Amino acid sequence: MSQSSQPAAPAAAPAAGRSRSSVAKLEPVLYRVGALAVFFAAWWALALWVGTNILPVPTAIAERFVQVLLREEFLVHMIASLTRVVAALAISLTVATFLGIAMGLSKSAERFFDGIVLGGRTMPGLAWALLAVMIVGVSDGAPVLAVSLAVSPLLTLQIWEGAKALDRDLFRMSRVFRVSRGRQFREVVVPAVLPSIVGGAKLGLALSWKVTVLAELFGVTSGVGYEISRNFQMFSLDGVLAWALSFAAVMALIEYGLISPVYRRLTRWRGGAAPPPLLRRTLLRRPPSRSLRVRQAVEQSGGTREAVR
Amino acid sequence: MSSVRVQRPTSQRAAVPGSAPRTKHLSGAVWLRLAAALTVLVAWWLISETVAEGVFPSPMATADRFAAIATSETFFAQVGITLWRVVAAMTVTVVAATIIGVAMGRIRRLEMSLDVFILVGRSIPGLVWALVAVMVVGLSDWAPVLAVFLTATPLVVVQIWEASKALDGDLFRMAQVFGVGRLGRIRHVLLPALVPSIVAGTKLGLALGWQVVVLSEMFGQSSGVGYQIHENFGNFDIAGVLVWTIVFSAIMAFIEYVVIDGVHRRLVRWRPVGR
Repeated sequence: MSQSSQPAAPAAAPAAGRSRSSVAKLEPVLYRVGALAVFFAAWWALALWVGTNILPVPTAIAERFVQVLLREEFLVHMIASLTRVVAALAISLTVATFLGIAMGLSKSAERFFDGIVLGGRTMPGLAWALLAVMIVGVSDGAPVLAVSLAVSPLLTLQIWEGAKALDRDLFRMSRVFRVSRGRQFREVVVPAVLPSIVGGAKLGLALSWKVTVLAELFGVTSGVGYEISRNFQMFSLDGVLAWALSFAAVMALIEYGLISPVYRRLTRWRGGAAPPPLLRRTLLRRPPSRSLRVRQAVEQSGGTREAVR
Repeated sequence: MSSVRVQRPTSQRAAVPGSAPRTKHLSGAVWLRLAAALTVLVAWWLISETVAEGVFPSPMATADRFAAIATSETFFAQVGITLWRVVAAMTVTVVAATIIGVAMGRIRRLEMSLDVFILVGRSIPGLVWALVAVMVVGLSDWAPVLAVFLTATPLVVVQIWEASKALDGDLFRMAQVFGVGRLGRIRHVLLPALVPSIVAGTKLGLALGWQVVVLSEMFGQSSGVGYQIHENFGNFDIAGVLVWTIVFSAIMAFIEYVVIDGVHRRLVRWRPVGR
């Protein structure tokens, strides 16, 4: 945990001083385990006090969790929801990439779309979920439409910011050397914008599974949202929690197992390390200063524009 | 005061990207934005007339519906009820989060005990808490408050916790040396330094919190904006859903960018310019 590795606040200096000994190294772990134990004990006591039919005890939820995981339907619903999340995210990413790059590169496009993007950003996911269900009806399209509408503005904002930070000098230089437009796009624009696309995907994933669940709650008969709604109507709190937490866990797995490593790989070259293979071939290197960058590129090219290409 | 390390006022974050002063091309910018608004309206109208005829209301029909809802007698009562729930819930959340955040920032043992809860709690969606609150508390006014508290507290705590960890200990020690009591230190040293992060946390929490209030009204209340949205949804009245969500989103945006930012500017007025 990053917080524990930071220097201790002055008030806690004595505690940090003691952490030299090996026993004290266990201290953070002990505190966390202790806090969790207190939490579950308090929950248990509260559940017994208000009645387990209102607030189930922790073990009941754990039991239900295992039950839900082991059932065949679990995979069916989970895959249904995941498919919708991925489809909607793919649509949003495509729209946002084109829109965001256009807005970052062209002032006119920026002025034309900024109001629409910011307006779309303030509409809550709930509104999109309800509207999509009412327009499309009870079908797979409703969650996908809802998520696309809710997530696209957010991603566009991200990619727009990334495209605005694009190195203009590099862009101009590639124009001077008559690099073709397609190549310019592939080798100057895309590598610079890629980190914000992946960063946007991370943000988008966090929002999109929540909107998917909402849309499924109101208008689909499969998926995790549908199961949550069914359990809610049966007044089964453990069911609601089991389904919601399992979906949250799968999403966390995708984020930390898949998207974050990709993001780190893509942004590593910015920290001073060698650029990833994708970027190494391109014009995009990381020299100390802007003027030097142009000079270096010219030197490397041997003074001719052929070699730069 | 130069040793008080605090974040810059977050009100700058509210600035629209790309809205830097561009007086030279102002007319062109205005023209393009007008064209964009017009395009949206025309596209909306075309969709309502062709693809989704009879399903999706035209802009004119939505405007009519807006007029009808805004002039109905229950409009202000419904908005007022939801606003009251949002305010009550956010007050509870921000006060609790300030206490927890400061305690976590100052007391290392507490930080070690609670950080897991905060980090896990942040990833649980508001929808889950809205459902859980309705199931546990029932149909009372406390359900939205509990739901918002559970959803937004972790977010707000993170802001205040990090800011209070970055606080400068020198000012504290100086206040102590000069015999300022514990309460005085909290009032005159701690709280002023934390204002920016409390404001940032409140805005973050509010953006999520009002949606959670609306959600829990949909599932477990018989009044408020969320109930109205749910009723219109049940009646398949798209214009009604649109009007209620847009109106309440606009009210919340007004509170976030005008009311809270205004209060923030007043609260940080003492600070030297440029900090």
